[in-house]
Amino acid sequence: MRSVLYLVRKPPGPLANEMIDMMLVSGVFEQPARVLFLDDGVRQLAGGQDASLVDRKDTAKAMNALPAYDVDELFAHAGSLAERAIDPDDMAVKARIVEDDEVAALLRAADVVVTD
Amino acid sequence: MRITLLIQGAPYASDAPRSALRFARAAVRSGHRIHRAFFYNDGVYIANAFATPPRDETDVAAQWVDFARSHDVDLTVCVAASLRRGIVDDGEAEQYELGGANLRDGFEIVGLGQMVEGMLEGDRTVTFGA
Repeated sequence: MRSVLYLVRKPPGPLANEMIDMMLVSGVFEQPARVLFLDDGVRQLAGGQDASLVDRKDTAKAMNALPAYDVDELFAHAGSLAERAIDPDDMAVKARIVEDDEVAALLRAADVVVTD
Repeated sequence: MRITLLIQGAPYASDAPRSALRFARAAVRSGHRIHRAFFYNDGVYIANAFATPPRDETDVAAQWVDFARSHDVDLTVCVAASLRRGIVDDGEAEQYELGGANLRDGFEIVGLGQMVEGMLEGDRTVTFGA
């Protein structure tokens, strides 16, 4: 089956939740799916956020539901985290930290790349 | 090659539907087939039949419908994204007791599963973001 890499490059917000919905449906279809957080996308992983203060759904909570749908390979780009001073040890969502060369490998490995 | 398009940008706040249409025309000219266009996020606004752009602007929704009819493309919009933004067909208008339906002729409201199916069936998937 064709594999998909969801490339998340935008910060948390209303559109993030629609992207997560698509990831969940990939899981339901048993499509091999991975998620890579890059650029401002890594802000979706940062700990210490309270979405309710801005009347929003908790994106991290939705992300953490992904493994229940067999979407359990989440990756975060080390450079993007560092540029934004996000401590990898204080992330609200568990993701494996990857360097530039691994980002390239993830993109190459996927049959389909869906960006937000 | 069978190509699936994912279009997420709105018709009047982004270039996504126009860029996607130009891409689709070029792909067909090169002998490829556009299997499905799936509109998601604010992209679903393209299916609002009540949208009435001024005469001196191109009507990208009408252009998409023409293109889809000529080249047998499934024009689909996501049901959840559409409901959230007030794009409904007759069935939903009745179910949610809304004042009326506004889904443009030529478009179909479908589930997200149709997008995933498009990814699985197509040889390529191309995304046009917001």
